[in-house]
Amino acid sequence: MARMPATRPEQAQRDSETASEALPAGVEVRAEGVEDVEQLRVLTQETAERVRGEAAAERERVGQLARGVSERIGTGHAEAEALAERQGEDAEALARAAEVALAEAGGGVPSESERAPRHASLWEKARAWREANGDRIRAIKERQKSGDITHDYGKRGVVNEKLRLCAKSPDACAGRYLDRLRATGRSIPDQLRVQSLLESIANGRMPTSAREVVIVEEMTQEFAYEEYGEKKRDGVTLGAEGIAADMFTELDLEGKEERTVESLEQAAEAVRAELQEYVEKGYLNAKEMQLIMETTAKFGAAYTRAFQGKRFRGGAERSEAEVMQHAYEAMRDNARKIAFQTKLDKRVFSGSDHGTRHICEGCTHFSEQLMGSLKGLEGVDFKDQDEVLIRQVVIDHDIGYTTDAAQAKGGFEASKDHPCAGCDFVESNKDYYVDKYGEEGYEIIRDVVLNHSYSQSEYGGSRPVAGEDELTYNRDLIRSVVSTVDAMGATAETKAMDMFRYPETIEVLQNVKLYTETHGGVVEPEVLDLFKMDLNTVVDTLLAGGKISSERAAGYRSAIENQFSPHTVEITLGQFTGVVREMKLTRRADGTVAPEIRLEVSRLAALVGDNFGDEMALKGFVKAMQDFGLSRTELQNMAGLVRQLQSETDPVLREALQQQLTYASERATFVISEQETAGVPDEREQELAAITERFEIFERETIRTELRQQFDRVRAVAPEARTPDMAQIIVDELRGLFDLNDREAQLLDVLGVNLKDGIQNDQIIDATQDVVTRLKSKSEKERLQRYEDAAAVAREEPRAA
Amino acid sequence: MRRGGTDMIDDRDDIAERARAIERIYTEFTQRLEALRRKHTEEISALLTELEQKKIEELRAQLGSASSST
Repeated sequence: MARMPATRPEQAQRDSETASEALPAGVEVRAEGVEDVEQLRVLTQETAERVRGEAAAERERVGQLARGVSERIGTGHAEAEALAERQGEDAEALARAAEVALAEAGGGVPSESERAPRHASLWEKARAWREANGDRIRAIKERQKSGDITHDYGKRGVVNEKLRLCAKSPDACAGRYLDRLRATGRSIPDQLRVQSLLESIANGRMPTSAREVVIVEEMTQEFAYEEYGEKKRDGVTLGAEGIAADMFTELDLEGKEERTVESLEQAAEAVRAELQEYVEKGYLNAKEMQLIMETTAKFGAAYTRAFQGKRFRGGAERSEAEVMQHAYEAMRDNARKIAFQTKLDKRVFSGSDHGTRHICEGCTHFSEQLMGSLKGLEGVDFKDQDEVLIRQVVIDHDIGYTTDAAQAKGGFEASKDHPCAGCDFVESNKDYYVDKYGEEGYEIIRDVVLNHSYSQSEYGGSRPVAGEDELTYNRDLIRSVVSTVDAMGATAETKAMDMFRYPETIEVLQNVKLYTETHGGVVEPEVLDLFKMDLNTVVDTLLAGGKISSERAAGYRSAIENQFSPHTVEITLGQFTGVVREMKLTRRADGTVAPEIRLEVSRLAALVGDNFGDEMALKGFVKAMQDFGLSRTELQNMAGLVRQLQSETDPVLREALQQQLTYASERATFVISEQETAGVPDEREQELAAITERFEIFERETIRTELRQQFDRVRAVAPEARTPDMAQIIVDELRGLFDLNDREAQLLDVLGVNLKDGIQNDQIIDATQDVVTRLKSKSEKERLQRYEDAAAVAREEPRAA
Repeated sequence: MRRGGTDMIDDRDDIAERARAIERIYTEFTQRLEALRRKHTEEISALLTELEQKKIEELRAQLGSASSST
């Protein structure tokens, strides 16, 4: 019999840990006492040698372990060698990355042959990486198309798993976060607090205090990011480098020459000329180009206003011409980034828009409102450089949606990790960001991109002390503004996916929803194919009518094929809640500053509520309000109050209802009011009006509203006051609405008897409604006939076979 | 901050900042290497389990054929 190994690998690991603890004192890398260039050179070289040595030791260790395993079992030699080889390469890759960073930090100390190229240009770096990794790019494109990336990525992304991951390894989770805080000079929460938060995470409870929520979200997000790094190292995704390489290809940047500009006007003109090319190629439409122009022009003005005559903390002074050139490069690159995100966004149904509508009309617009109100608030430490960073992060924050895994067939879950891919993008282009915003600016952009999905409301903080003519940033304020405007991109006017702004597509969504509701939530694959075909027909019409370019049509078709599902419908219809009218920062009675957000419910929301229920109609608001700490209990009366407000005409009673529709948490105040139309001052008003019209037609042609109202009327009566006659009235009225065959008529009779017996029991009413919802009127049957026929054929086929 | 060569390192603060950066990079490297070591150990352990399993199956098969031939 084969001899089993005396020492298992876990034991070997423990032994080596003990061994490393026994290293002689004084071998740590210490920055203290390094005062001149020569000492810095020695420190850099010695550290690089240690790094190489430790990687080599790891190669040796895994080699011995793997060989020991195969020798002792007497088989598996090749597998063990291959594993050890790959692991050795992993360790050396880690060492190489550290050496590059060391060389950079040491100021070019290594020899010429060892020195890594420094890329302050996104595009030089992207070009070089693309040329060196052609095979990897081709392979990942294949896997993106086949959906293999999605398979390898796993069922749950790292962000959705982050609390579980942290609960599993609490010390590592906290350790990484605290290291990050130390490394960037931020204050460290005390140990007891961290311990208590880790216990909360282990017990599946989120803390209630706003500050502690921020700590938990940031700590677990750092840990998720580490896990994301594993996926990248394992080759599941190309990560940031893949994004930059795609940007280079998708925007045809090969051969684009670098320009020198002397003024913002010249900068704007150069950006305009490039964007015009994208319009001519069909990558953007004219409106999108205009939005990108406005966003980048404002960025350029803010950049020069903030940085002219100043220097970053600890950094060298830049001449006026250098600042202007940097402003231009950032404007141009930001225009490219928005154009790229707008182009790729159309190829997926990630749940919401991530192009110009979200970046420019949503986040930029609302951050300008917040920044405008900040300027009028005394005691808030807000400066021009903070505005620049807010504008920059708004442009960068969702760039992770363009990564291979998120763009892959079935990549919805992977797209939830977009903050990690975005952070990776910033980190891998560190030189670029340090050049444009300084070291501190880079660190803040990196952190805010990683954490942008978690709302923060901390406007009372300050910035590090700066020397004369030096700039420092107010990190918490920047992170608070960005996360607030992102969370409030919750409603159709800034969130609806591009394709669903066309009323023709809404009709298809309504049919999917009607089919789902009348078939117990099930849409058979054959039926889903028919709905996809309907959407493709709409795309054909839009293309033929010149409303979209062939590039965009191809994007829509790809999204339909790879990502359309009933879930897409639920998400989209839930965005027609109303509009986010205005955001401003106000000082509260307790002296703190928090956003006040005005939301307006329109007739469209009422129609969605009538047809598909209030829960769906107010989904957009509820989700956003919960992000700011309001509980479900606090919001449960909202739908009823909104209904009352929509039907109330007495100004005094309206005012009273309005008072009740104000909700405040530690992080924000929401004021909900009502308006007949969306009241958006551009083409979106017509878009929403056309969609409203489709919902009106749907309401006329279906009986969903009447059906809901029948049951809601009974629920509105106190249980003890309900009588069996009420059940009879409902059943009689329902019978008049439906087109019933014999079996369905019998079913309704049985339901009627049950309802009479259980009229005082809300659970019986819910269960009866659930079954009745599946019955259809004559016009509903006609509307769904094609799809039901397809389902019937699909059911018959296996029997025939 | 413009960087790229030793000629650009011109003051003590800058040197101290770079030295601290080196310390941070090394700390981060050791943390990552430690995580990698753990992962490697787990992988080798998984390989060991897999090889053990294969070996046991092989032995079972040998025993099976030996007993049927007797």
